[in-house]
Amino acid sequence: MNRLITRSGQKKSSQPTGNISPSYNNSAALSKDINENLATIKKIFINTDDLIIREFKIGRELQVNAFAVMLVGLINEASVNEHLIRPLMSLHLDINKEPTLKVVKESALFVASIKETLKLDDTVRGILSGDTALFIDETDRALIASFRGWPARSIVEPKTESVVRGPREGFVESLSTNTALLRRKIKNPQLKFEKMTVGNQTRTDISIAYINNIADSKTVQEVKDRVSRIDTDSILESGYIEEFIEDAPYSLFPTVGNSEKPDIIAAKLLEGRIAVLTDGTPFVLTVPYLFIEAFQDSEDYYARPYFSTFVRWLRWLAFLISVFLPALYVAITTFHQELLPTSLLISIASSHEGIPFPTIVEAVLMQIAFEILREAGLRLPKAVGQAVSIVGALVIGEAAVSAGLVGSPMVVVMALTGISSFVVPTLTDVTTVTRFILLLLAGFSGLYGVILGFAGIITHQLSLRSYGQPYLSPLAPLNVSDLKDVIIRAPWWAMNTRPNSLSKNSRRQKKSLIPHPPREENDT
Amino acid sequence: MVIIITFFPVLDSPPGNQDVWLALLLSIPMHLLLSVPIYLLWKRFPNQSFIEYSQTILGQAGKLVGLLYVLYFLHDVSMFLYRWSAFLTTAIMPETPVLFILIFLLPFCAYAVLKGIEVITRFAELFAPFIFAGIIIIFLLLAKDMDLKVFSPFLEKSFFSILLGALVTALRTSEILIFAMLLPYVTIKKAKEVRSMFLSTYSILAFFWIICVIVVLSTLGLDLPKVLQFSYFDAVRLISIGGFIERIESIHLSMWLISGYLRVALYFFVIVIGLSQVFGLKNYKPLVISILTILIPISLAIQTNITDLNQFLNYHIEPWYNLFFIFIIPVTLLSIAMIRKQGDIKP
Repeated sequence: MNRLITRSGQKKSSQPTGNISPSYNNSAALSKDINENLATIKKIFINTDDLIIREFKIGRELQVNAFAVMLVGLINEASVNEHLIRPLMSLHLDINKEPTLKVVKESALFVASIKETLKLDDTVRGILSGDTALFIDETDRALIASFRGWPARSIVEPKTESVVRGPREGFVESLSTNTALLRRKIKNPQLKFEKMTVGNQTRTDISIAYINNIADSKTVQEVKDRVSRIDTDSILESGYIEEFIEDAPYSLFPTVGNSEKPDIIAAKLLEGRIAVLTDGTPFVLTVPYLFIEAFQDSEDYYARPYFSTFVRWLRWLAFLISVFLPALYVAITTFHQELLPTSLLISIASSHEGIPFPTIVEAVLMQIAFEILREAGLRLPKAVGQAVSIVGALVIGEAAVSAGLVGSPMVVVMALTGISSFVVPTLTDVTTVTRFILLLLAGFSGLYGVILGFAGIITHQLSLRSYGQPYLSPLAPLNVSDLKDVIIRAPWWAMNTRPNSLSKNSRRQKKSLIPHPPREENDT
Repeated sequence: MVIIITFFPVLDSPPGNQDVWLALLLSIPMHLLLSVPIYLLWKRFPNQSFIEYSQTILGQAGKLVGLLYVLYFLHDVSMFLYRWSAFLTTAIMPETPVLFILIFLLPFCAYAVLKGIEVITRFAELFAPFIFAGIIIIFLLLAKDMDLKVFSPFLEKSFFSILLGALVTALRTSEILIFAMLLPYVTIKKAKEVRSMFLSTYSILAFFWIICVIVVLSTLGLDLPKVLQFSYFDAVRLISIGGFIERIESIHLSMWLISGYLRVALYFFVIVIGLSQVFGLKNYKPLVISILTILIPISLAIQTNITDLNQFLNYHIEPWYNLFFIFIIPVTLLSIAMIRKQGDIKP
């Protein structure tokens, strides 16, 4: 909601596609008569009360008619006053020397970014983006000067990706701030930002970022092609773009990654990936996206390698638990009781006494209850949050068990599953659906079904590609040198190459940078 | 690979005693010998699969040969599915009707086939280390139960019987023909690399086979496995370490299910491709559903009773039946090709 308040300019499209007819001719040119221009602008922006049209005269002696058009709220008013109105009004002009426009543009306006345009379309778009358009009498060109300034959210740590060690900056909703944050991380002229506009109604600015000598140029071109193919009304969030450019639209698994933190995006750019920044959202997309990336977190790279390796294994384990545990529990307790050690079997069987439902029904009910709790917890006002979580824990956990509705091992299984599903945040939605599918398969056909379901899921994953990269590389087309960042977190002095599949420029650093005591020739 | 872990018919064949491992070791050269015609045919027609070049060599009659091979593969898959469902219904899920098992498995395989050979091979690549690791772990876990003295009288029977055993073992793997069908998809084009690929495949196969044989024979003795239906499975059931690691047959089961899935998917793919090549279709995908619906009834119809199965798998019948397809027909094709001087003849 923040976004809608700070960016009140919704841009009208002038594309021939889509059923939006602009209230002016696309290719109309500006006229030399200032009154005509004024009338045109007023007609376009009729009933728009946030438009400011400031008519004034340029030059102390000369008094050339002019007017400036801007949208209140999108501009930095003080700056406009100080650097546009004031210098123009107090300008000393000698008319015989040069045309007014040239003098104004080159010597009078104290502004960093300025453009000259013949077309009405550009002018209107400029005004809607927050620039100020200056029309001068007897000139059929308009000057578009950039005095943008609107209230924006400050740079804070993102709530979804907080770290113990590492930078706490997060992207904000403004595209220029985001590009600046990335520039601060990578001070390399090879870091390119290519701007595009998508969305017929919203005309959202997006920026495609890549490092020229590291990223694969074919992939860059592919990204640009796919983005330019998007022909839709609105792009309000990068999620919209994600769904238009992803490789496997029917698949459960994400093939486009996203992140809110500049250091993560910078690291991915340095690996050879391509980032898509969208104005209006702090979430930046990265392509190509592989399955293993969900298990790589930025904090892994800042903490020490042994611990990071351990945490990685924990993540894999948690993921497997959250996907398989309910299904395996149901399968084994329903069909293959002989696989359990006897004492465990006895305690599970005894807790299952008197429960009216078969295990599969129990599991599905608990699963649904857990998902309801989780979803509600996201949207609770903070004051109520504590109370509801206690209610949830007590009701679901304690009371249901003692009322004999579910068995206590089932509660344990569900709790463990639920907590594990949050360890790998990117894949939470994937695990939920997969868990359900496997649960149903398990209840239906036991271990046989679970294993076949697992094989089916892996087959599906193997058939996915993300912008040409096989989804499960480096595991599936086995690439041992890339595994140094998947199975373990190799120390930085050992990470000599970028992930091979992504970029041809693979040498990242010098070999054997391991810290060691000074090696001396003679032993002293 | 999967057959090994289930039935172990090899233990009944000559020499039928503790020198079986020697027979297995010798099966590597036997395998290589049997693949010679396929290899030479590949060299002549590097971009054509087996069915395609039988059409090239024989013309229209080649289509008949192709159809014959498709039927052979169909039969092979059905036999495999029979063994598979026999295992499942006997050992793991006795109350499940066989129809259900098949109906459940085959759509997953069909999905894999629809996605293409690349997916199937990557799947195999992904899981092969796990399966190998599983076999080795089982070997290690049974180490304390193994009685290696069973292997002691060395070369008790004649060497000829060992050779015969090697031949029989080698003939059981109709995978050689799968090679023939799939070689055009392999990206290695150099002859030397293809040779080393053949060699490494058979060596790995023989290596793991030997491990399994050692496991079974040393834990269960010499006579028992010949009688037991699922020797390896029973050996796995014996694992008991510290009273804690017991009953890990579920791990064995999962490994085995995945290998079975893979094998059926692979054969399914070969059948579909073969059929599309016989009829000259460009895209094999529409055939998948039809073959799926054919496979289930065929597999069910073949399933008469376990004694029949055992007799078939017994060394008297199956190896010689395979010999015809693996060796005799390719040799015939090769000789015709040589006589007619067809294909790329490069030194």
